[in-house]
Amino acid sequence: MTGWLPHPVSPFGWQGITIWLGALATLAIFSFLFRENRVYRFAEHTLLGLGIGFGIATTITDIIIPKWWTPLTEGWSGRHWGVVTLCLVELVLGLMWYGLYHRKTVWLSRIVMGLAIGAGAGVAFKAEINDKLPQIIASFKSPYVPAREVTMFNNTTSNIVFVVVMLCVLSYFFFSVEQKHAALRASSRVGRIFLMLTFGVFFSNAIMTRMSVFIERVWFLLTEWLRIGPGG
Amino acid sequence: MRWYERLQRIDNRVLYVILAVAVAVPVFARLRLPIPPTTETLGAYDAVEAVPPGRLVMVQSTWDAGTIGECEGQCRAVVEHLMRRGQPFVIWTSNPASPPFYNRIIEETARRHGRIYGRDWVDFGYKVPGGAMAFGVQAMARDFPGYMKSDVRGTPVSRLPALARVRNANDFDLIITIGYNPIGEFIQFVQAVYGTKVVFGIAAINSTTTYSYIDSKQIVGMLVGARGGAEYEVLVDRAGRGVQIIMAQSFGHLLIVALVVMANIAALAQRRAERRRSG
Amino acid sequence: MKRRAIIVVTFLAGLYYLLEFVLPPRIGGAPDADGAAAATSAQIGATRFIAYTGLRNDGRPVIMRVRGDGAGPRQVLIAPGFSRRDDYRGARAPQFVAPDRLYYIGLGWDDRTPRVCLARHAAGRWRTLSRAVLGNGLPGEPDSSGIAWASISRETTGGYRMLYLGLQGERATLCMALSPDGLQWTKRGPVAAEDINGLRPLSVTQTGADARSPVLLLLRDAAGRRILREVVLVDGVRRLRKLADVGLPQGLTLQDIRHSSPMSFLATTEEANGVTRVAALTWSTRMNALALEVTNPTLIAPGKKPTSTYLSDARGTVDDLLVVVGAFAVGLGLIGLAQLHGRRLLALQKGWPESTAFFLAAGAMASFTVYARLHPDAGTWGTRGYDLLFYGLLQPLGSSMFSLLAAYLVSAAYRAFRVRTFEGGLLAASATLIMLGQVPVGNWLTQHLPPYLQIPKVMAWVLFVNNTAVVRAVNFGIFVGALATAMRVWLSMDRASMRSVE
Repeated sequence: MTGWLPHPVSPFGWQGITIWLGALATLAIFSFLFRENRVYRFAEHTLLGLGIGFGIATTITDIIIPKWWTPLTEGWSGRHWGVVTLCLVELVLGLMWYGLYHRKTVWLSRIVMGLAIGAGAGVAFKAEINDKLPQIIASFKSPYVPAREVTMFNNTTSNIVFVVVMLCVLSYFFFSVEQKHAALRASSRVGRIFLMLTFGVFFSNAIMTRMSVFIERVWFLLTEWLRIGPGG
Repeated sequence: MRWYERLQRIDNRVLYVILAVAVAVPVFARLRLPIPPTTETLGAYDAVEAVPPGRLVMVQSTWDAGTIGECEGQCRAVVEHLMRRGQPFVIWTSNPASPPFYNRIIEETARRHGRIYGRDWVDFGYKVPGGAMAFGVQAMARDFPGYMKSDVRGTPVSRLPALARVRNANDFDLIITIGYNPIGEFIQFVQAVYGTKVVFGIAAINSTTTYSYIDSKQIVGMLVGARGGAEYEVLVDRAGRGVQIIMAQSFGHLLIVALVVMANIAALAQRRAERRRSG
Repeated sequence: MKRRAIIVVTFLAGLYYLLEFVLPPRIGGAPDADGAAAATSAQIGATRFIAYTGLRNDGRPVIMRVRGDGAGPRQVLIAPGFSRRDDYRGARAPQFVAPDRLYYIGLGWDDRTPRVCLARHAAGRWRTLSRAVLGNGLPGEPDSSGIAWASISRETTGGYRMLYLGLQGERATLCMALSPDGLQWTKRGPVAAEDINGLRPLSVTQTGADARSPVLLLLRDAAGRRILREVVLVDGVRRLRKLADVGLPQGLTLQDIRHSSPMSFLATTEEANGVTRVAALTWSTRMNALALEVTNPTLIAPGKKPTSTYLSDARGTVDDLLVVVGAFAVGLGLIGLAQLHGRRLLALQKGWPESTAFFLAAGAMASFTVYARLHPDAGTWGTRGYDLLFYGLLQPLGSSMFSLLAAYLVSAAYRAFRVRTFEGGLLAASATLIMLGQVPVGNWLTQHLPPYLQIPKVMAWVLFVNNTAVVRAVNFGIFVGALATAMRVWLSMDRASMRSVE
């Protein structure tokens, strides 16, 4: 049923209960916009609990069970002692995280933290090189562009502007030497100007993202809960 | 209180109500403005169009409740495009909350196009935790069947018709990621190593820094927030959530622009009045 | 001692991944360690040699040469280089065309599409043309995915004729192209071959310069059996008429075959383990037998095998170990929150009802989620409870929390966005332009203006040129900083994390 007056969905039945719960939860959070209140705090803590519970459950069911428990039990019953040993090593290392809670065992947690951080640092070398090196190469744009390759963004003017902007912004972030020279100060000033344009882009994109979620929530309340509107 | 002071002191709660009313307008008035596709959205569309018949696409979907406004339209349009073309694809996620959201879309689209699970698409569900993406993506790119092992229903990869000849990333012609953040690991460990094309579908807030990937040809297209979803929906001729959201967003953005202009006019008038009084 | 242990563990963990990145999975070995394929006979001056494709599973295919009898040292003729040419990702399937041309299939840089490329011999060196001489077709055409194989012959009239296999996804279609000089080619489209339904072409080879010379098509049926068919071009080169099927040697699985001399052929044979070799075949001398016989089953065998560094072999195990060890840390967050809220609850401090809600929500969600994920199709109270908590509470609460920021952004923009300086004005102008450009209203407002004043076009230029240049400059700094930080962390030069164990 649709219409111009609110006629909320029936709260009886699984779907009805779900929508009503969702609507009340949304209104509880939105109540914070008027002032901080108990209902909002209650909803906030519920969200925290739900999030934590969900995260723990999915970690158990999607990682610990398939990648550790199942190989351990199957290895034990199949007498694959190499697999069993590996799983026990994983268990020992995993439990070392909890050394954090006692002064005498905190160094154990640092070991496993070091393992994770060291691996992350090693992977970061490959990741950064593969990610940034092609961009560095692509930054050297040619002012000459053959006629058949000219586009709105790949032409002589755009390429020159691109290189100039990039060098000016680079000079703005050049903190290794004092910016005394007039040329360096001028390029730094130009870089700051172009940076402002990009900050405007950041700001408007942030608005766009947040606004999308807000719209979705308002539309949920109007079209799914209150069932207002021609398409509601 | 003078008019310029009143204009600068509107209560926040009034602003929130005006915002809610502004974005609710399209609920009551069905508005349709032309939505021309941008270069980055066309790149994504053309990338899917260029995938040869029968070649595999990988879709990685990490969006959930927090990004439903921006990513649902993108996901719906991409799945529609793939299923309409009969392009087989695999889908997986690094966000355990994501599967219910994308499965709802896939099942509805598959019903409409008569697509069959296992032949036209395969769901691997939550496979790689977000913190271990670097490890998971590399392992999957090196040996896809060995890493994935079985789909979300427990069927081994070897028994899935769509994946009969898949060994590694070379057997995928295109990777599409849809979520809040761009999954840089696909560029770092798949595109750079195997040359597989990558398309991003991301939230607008993360798109500012991602345009440079298009320039360096590390990605071939990008869907930016709700706008990207709306444009893609128009390209596949299936206007849906993306178009609805972007129409409502028009009013929201106009409101912000109007408020900023109004506040600055009032501030300018105040500064002039103060200068006149002092000088 | 403890500090040393931490430093050593951190260093070794990082060292493994760094070495795994820097070192190839296998070192040493020949460029054709995993197979030799697609050979062609060639002659430059008085020197006869064979050019063939060298395959390595962990590298790009290259074109190599060896003496005409298959013996002697091997050298790389054409190897993909650093510059982004049409053979960046590999060169294979060479074909020599006298007096000095080597056509081959190159895999391009950014799309891996196979195209026909050319190298010419001059002054003792082979020089490759940077762009392909024949590329893939438009979407929908039979060669839209590239060209898998080509056979070129120089006609007696001086022109060139190419029969090639165009790819459209997994489908291969026999096509033709003509050229006056071997450099500029005109596609003539698919060539209809008689009695070829259900058979997939693997290779095609012309046996003479004349258009009426027989052409040999190697085909594969649905069961994987190889069929070698002799055909001839008819009807103004639009059609191939079947002459006969040629008998193949028993026990050999052919991948491709190329005409070498009037009586002989070079073919690629495949073993059960996937390794390929080049074999020499010749027309059978038996009476009334249209068949090929093997003269040398291993004319060119794969080269010296490389040695594994075992780094990549162990990679899967190491990755899984780190993922599982990381997963065990999930309890840390729970313990921290439980301590905080538990203290509040037990002492009945201010906010204890909210802490109760936290524990109830966490417990309920964890239980229902574990049950639902282990029994997804149960349809019981467990799965319904999960749906209720997930769709009814978690999802709306999460997205509502995110959406609060939209309201705050509006009020912040209204209150704080005051243009007082030139830079501030630029920021405001840019934000306004992008905000309007991101929505259809921007296009609607300016659609009748000249293109350089239309908001979407200006926005696109700002995003692709200015914004990209700025982000690129910032990325340079991030790149250097990230590498430096990674180095510091890897070498445990970051003292802060060591303080608690000193």
